[in-house]
Amino acid sequence: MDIQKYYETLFPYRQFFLWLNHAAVPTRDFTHREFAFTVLNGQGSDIYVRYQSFPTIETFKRKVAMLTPKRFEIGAVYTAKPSDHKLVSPEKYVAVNKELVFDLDLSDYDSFRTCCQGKQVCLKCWQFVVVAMDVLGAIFDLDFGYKHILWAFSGRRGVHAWVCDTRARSLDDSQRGQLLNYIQVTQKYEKGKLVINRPWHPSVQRSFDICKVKFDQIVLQDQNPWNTHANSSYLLNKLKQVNEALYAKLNEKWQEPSTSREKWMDIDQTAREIAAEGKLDTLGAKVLLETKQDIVLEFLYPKLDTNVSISRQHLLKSPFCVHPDTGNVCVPINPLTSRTFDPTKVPTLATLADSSILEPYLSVFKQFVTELNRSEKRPSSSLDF
Amino acid sequence: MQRSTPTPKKSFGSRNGASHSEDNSVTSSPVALEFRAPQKEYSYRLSFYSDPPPPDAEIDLEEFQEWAIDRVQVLDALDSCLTSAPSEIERTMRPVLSRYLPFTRHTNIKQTIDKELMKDNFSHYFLRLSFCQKPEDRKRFVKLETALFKLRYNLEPIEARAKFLNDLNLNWEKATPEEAQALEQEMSFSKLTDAPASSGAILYKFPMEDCMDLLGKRLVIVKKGIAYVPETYQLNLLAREFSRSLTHALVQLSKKVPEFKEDGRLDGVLKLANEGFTNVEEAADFQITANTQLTYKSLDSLEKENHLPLCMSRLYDNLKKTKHAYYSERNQFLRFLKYIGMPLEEAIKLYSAFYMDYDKKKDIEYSIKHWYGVVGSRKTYQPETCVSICKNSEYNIPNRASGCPFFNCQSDVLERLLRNHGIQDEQGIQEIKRFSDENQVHLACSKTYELTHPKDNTKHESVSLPNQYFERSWNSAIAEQQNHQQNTESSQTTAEK
Ligand code: SF4
Ligand SMILES: [Zn+2]
Repeated sequence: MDIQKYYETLFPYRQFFLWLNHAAVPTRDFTHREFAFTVLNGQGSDIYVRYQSFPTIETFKRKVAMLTPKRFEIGAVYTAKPSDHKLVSPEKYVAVNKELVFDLDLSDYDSFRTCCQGKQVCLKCWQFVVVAMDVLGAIFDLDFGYKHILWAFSGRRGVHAWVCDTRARSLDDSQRGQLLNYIQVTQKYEKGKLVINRPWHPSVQRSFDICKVKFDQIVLQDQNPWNTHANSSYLLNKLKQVNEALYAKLNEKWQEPSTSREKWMDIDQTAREIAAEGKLDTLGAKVLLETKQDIVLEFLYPKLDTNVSISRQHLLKSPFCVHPDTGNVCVPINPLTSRTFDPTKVPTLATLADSSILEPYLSVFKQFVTELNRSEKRPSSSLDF
Repeated sequence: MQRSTPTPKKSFGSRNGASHSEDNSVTSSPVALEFRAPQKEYSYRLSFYSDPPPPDAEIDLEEFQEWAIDRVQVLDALDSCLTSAPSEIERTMRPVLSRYLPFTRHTNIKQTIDKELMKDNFSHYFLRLSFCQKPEDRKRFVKLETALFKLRYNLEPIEARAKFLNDLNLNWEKATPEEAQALEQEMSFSKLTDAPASSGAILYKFPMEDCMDLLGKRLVIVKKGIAYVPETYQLNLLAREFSRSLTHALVQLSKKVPEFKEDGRLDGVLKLANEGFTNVEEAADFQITANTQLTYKSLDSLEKENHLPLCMSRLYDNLKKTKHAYYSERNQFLRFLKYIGMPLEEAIKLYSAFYMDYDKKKDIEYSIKHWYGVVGSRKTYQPETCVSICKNSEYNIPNRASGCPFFNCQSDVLERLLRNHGIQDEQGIQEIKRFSDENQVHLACSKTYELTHPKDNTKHESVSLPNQYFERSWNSAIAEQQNHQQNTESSQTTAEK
């Protein structure tokens, strides 16, 4: 199927409109919303068109048909129509509302995955994304009480989260920044060591528990990052900082080939041995435990592109766009089956000849939008603009 | 000398100079602010300023202005130390407060208390008028007033705080005992820095959006969007309420200002508010000494050649020796340096060269920029006069190198300073000490100049500000050099003949 036909016949405009507009008749949430298109110009290079806004979904659709964009992005709701932004003074053109968005990309995991690099993705490394979704999902729900989270495949090797609760949409940039500070755990290093205040905040503890359960399968078995002595320097360096004797012994031992899983078990075993020799005191043992915990978090804690989340002016690719390089449709991910989502088997322009394969994704989206709109108790006054 | 001494009038710092009497539209009529609120007794020292000054309050306009200017002093001082640790802010601000916005403790004299409270309230409302119109002014005013509120809150005794809080009637929701108990385990899990781990501690419930700063630091537990805030952080919450209500009030007020303007009700006050503050300080006419492009390194030779008055050489020596400078010390030195022509970058270099405490460097840089007028209120600070240096209680805190040594040093300390300064003349030292005992700082300083500048035999008026001392010394050195050149030239010509 060609892309033009896709946008003409399959893209779910109605739900898309209801999703962003939060009501059946156009409100500012739609009319004052910024869209951006990436279109191919005559010379075969991309042009990026910002500050687009539309009075109705029909006008939006017509524009898409006219431009056949490679993709389009969704931005914030402003105090004035984005298409008028040049006509009003800057202080009258301010972002007021936007979904709280998160962007997670496997390329940020390159130093932690061995199966793929860069643009590649497979089901093994996709598990990093699955854990990240679990961790973030728990924070969104249990801590922040957010109910309307749309997860969407970003088209190649990551996911986007769109938190659509009214409370989340109305956060200002500085509040978003604080919220990200709360979420971010693995961003602060000192002398190569992760800095997290201990004892942990209960939220960090919970995130850790989620990661820890998956560590054995995802990291030790699937990724097996320390399969040779040469590959193990990351681990050895961390241990060296904890205890020289432990390091020396393991460094020696790991000259022989062994798996990552065996190495991980060696650590505690050897620690017990040197403790018996009086070379590791309780404090040392505690530091060792913390170091191992840090390693779990370093591998599995969600790695986020924070700018995307903090600035309301930032735009993010819309769900149901087609990824220009892969031809993948950026489908929503069903929260109930997210753990079995396979990024290599999503509908693509090529497979869409049979349009029914899009059905399940459309119904996930529709259900999401319906629930969102049901929870929006918009007073009718919001229509007067 | 290429310029006259600065007019002490109109300087922000000296109270005696705060007169704006040129503008007769605002003079000599008592200011009656026409707000609607009923007369109310001011009973707390802490205030959310929800009651404007009573409409029938009669107050002398000049006093009123002076109050407002005093409050600006406080806010400015606060602005330049805002990034410091709370204890440092407190140390810096205590003397500033007691000078400009005092709350006398241990007094039963109702009049004193009333007057102080009135000053606080009136000056706050006056500044609201001047800062309500532009968004960036509002923001800055709210920021500083909130900081001031926090500072004062911390200075109040616990009972007073509790009473204030109670009477504010904020209706903060408390966690039920069951909720608190359910959270107790988690609270102790996380060492929520100095949060009371004991049972029975009060937890307030807030929408998390209302305490994002605490959330961002992971200092509170949040469940389903509700943050459970230990009592320890109630000041954060209170400050939030404060800035919120003040912001709101300012926005409301800004809408009314055109109305006020229209019917002329607040003409005088508004005029002051709009123009008074920006113009007051720039009126003084001290020029930066143009012929000295100083680097920070040249301070050593300036000192050696006796160009620095005793107060400044004490500050400089102290900085070198202790590798530290208190706010007041920095403040005094910088205002001097700026006007002897040390560029901003050099001043920054000076402090980073000597300052040990790395963490503080950023703050210091900020305060340097502040005094140079490139950040914060961007005011042009004029050099300080000896009188204002002596009167500044902040400078006179014991064990600091700030202030005028002739005014605040014990005589043995002064003697040591004088000897370090290169004065050996015993009789001279005794004379200076005598002047100093009598608080005749000008004479003491002039005598010091005389003894360290034996070649300068111009007749001078007595010293009245450190920059004048410097300039006098500098000019005399130049004159001497020129003299010397002329002499050698003429002797050369003679030789040639
Ligand atoms: S009299 Fe003035 S110039 Fe002299 S030391 Fe005191 S403050 Fe400095
Ligand atoms: Zn892979």
